[in-house]
Amino acid sequence: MRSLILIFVYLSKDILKRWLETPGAVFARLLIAISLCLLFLFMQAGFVLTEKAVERKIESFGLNTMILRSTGFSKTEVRPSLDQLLSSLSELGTYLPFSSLYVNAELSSKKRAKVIVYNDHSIPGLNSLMGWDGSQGPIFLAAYGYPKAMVERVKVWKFFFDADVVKPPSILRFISLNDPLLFIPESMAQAFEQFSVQESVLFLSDDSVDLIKIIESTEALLKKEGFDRYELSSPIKWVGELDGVRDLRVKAQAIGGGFVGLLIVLIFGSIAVFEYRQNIFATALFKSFGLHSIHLILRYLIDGLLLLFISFLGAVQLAQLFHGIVFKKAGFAPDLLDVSAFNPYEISGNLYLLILLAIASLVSILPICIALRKPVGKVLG
Amino acid sequence: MSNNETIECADISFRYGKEFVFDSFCHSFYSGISLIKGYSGCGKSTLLKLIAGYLNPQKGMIHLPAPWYKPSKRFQREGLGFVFQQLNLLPLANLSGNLNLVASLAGISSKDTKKRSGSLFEKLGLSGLKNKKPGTLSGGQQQRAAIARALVKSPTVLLLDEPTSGLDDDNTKVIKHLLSTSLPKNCFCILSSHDHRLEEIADEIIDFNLRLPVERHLKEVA
Repeated sequence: MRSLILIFVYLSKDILKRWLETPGAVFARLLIAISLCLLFLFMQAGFVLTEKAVERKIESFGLNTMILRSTGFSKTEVRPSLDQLLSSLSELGTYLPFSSLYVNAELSSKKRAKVIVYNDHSIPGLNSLMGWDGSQGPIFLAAYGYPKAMVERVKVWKFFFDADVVKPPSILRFISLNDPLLFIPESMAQAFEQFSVQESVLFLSDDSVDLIKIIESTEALLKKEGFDRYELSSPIKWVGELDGVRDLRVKAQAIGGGFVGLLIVLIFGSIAVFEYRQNIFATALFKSFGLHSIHLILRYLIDGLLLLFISFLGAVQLAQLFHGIVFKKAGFAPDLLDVSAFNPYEISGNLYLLILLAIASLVSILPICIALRKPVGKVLG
Repeated sequence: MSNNETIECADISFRYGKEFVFDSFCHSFYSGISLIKGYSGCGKSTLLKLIAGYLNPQKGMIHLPAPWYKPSKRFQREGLGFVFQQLNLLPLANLSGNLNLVASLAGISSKDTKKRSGSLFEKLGLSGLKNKKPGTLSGGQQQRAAIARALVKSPTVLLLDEPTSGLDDDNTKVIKHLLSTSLPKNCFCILSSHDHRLEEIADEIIDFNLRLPVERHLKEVA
């Protein structure tokens, strides 16, 4: 035991002496390892944030939602409307057929709002989604940031309307993200006949399992009726997208990890061999005392592990520092970037990188293991 | 045949590259001081390294006295003291540290190590230098310290490769005195040297020049 302590103390002194003698070699190793770890951490965090964003999108829209939009029909085309085809959906959940006008409304603040034309079939759906209590007029503006029960004067083309302002349910983000929506009943929208419209149906199933079947049967019906220009989206389809992101993360982790590991092995291995060659006589002298090579190998392993662990911790600190800046530029929502609420750089979440670094430092000393096999008598004179 | 009284070189062959240094070499070393002399390159150092187990013979065997029987890591830790021609001391440890490390590997208690180190430092004139790092010492002082380190574990086999090469008479005298008076009982001390000053302390002298081919011997003598 005493001998192990003395050897440990001596080899620690040796490591420290090398670090102080050649700070450039230490700095180069740290800089490269920190940069590689930082890149890897940002890549990982990017994937995790993408998954989070998709999960949130699914949560906010609800898994049981579907929206169908017709695309690119000419006005002369003769075909049944989406509402005519899909009105039976009203028995299976909340059904909201509507048309979007290809003209915007202008609010008093000069802000623009999308114009939605609804019909009688839409009223039960609007009742359910908007919580209508009958006090509103037929024309209403679904917009955030307005006081309750306010009336807003809006202009559509050359007509003015007074619209009751209502707070939109989050489901309406499916139609127009956070922009305001002006709802006009069909009976009052005849003046806009000259404008093109896009037919749409928003549907909330009572059961998300049923929705898969409903999507399949809707697509089959549209195909049968010759609809080939439509867009059907549903968060239930994003679940597959989420799996895709996770698969991609695993692949990127493997490829990126391999790349980081390989570079670390090459750089740390080269420097370790260089230091070993400088230290070859002292090492051989130790061996001549009957010391097992494993103790000498440990010196290089500890050296590499220590530097890599310091690099890892440094990279984690830097990643947390620049997390907001980097991912804000990448377009992620600010509420996702609060590391105090969700920290993708916690050590427990990055064990893969730590294990990878440990393996890399182990592999990087392989040349030394081979060199240590050289008999003492061929090194010492 | 090995026994507890000899180090036996049995039919040893060793070569560097294509050139044989030893070809079927046989010799028995007895306890006491054996001096191997000869010109450079005749194989003196190689033989010491073979006995120590720092090189492996391509043919033949080295038989060591009990309890070692053959060169091994344990023999190197506990039973062997070896002094190289140069680069003998660990540069980051002071003289005491150098001795402590080797003694601890041999399993000697720190109390015994302290006692033995003190005695050896005194005999070798190094008492005032025990806290100095090797880099601050002269060549002679380093060589004496290396001998102290080899002796601190009271080895069964003490191998010294050119221990007095480049040393002045005073240093040589100290080393000669130590070897002739302070070797452990039944120690096999084998010196390789072409320094005639060591011949007077040797119990046996082996002249490796006689092993050389006649032409090379004549050339070396000339």
